[in-house]
Amino acid sequence: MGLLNPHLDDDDCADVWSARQALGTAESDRPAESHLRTCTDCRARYSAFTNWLDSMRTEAHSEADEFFTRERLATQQTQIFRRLESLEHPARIIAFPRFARPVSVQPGGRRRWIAAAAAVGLITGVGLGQLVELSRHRQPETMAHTRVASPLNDPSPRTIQPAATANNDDETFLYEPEVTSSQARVPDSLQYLNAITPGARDYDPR
Amino acid sequence: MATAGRNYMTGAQPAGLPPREADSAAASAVKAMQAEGRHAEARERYAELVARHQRRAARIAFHYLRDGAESDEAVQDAFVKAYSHLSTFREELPFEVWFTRILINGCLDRIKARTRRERWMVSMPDHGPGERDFAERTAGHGPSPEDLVLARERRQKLAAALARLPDRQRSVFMLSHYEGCTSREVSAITGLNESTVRVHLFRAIRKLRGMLTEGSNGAS
Repeated sequence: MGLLNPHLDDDDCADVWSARQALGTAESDRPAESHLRTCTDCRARYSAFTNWLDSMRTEAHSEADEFFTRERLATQQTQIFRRLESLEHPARIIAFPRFARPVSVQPGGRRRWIAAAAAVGLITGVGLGQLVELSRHRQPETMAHTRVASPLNDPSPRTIQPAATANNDDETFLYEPEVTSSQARVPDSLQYLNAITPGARDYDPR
Repeated sequence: MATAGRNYMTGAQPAGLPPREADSAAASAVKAMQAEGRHAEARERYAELVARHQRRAARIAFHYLRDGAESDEAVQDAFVKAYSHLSTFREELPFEVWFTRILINGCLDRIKARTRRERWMVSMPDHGPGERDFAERTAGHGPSPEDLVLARERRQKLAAALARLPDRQRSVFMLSHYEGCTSREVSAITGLNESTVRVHLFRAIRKLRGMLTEGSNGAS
């Protein structure tokens, strides 16, 4: 369509048609609309153009409808609702094939017993080891404590017994107290007093 | 809203409402039922929407994918997706537009996946999606074998011409012409401006006209 040729060509028809289609109206705002109203030839050409487009649509729809028959649509609807229903149920977990076969109880139980025994053995071993270590550390300490502290802290009268001091045998006194006490000699001047003083051996708790 | 509430309680079709408003009412009702945990009722009400849009959805998917089985799957996926995402549906947008967008996106994803797949696979010769059994074709009534061959040729030409259009032009053309959507609706579905929609539509028709008349002139 131009100044010399006012009639509509294919592009003009396409322009008018797309404008009408876009607006969804029977007439558009295109300049060719006024010519279409007056020119019979152009109206016929435009009509042929729209028929071509309509046949294209009919063809496309019939092709799709041939495949999507009423039965197929019904099946599709059923499948849609089956899928919708399954959306509301939690999925079922299927075991991986390796774990699907039944597992015999005995090997598993034996393995468990072995593991438990190993654990008990380990704990016992560690505990005993700790005890041995502790006792090893404690022995020298107690011996030293006995050597240093017992003469000073022991309030027993045996430490100040004149017999012990007179004996001057510290080693014997410290390490063989029983022997020392039993062998203690009483001076002659105190023999009488010693005889009338009750000793521990004379004590009868009854 | 009150109307929608009353209707979904009874499960009845909204009387006297235009299809789009009826769709929106049904979609809102299904959304409310889902929120209340009334799933069986929601599904029942959703069936209305499925029944109303299924044929149209099947056509759109078929025009995009040109494969019956794949279109079937695409339609199912779109309805399931729409149902499970109905909480994101905004009432100001028609359900049809929202759903069509889901469907077209699904179809485009499938086309992409198919293109990737076809890089590595050799396709078998295609007999056309509408081909029927020999016994059915040779039945006494219905179109003659010659008509069927001619129709198939025409369809193949049209499909080839549509496939050669750029994605946007094809979408705009299909929605505007095949589905009768206005430029505003196409704009809502595709996310393009209304003026851009008009430009794409015009270009698509001009190209198709060129390709199809060129093909027919060459053939004759």
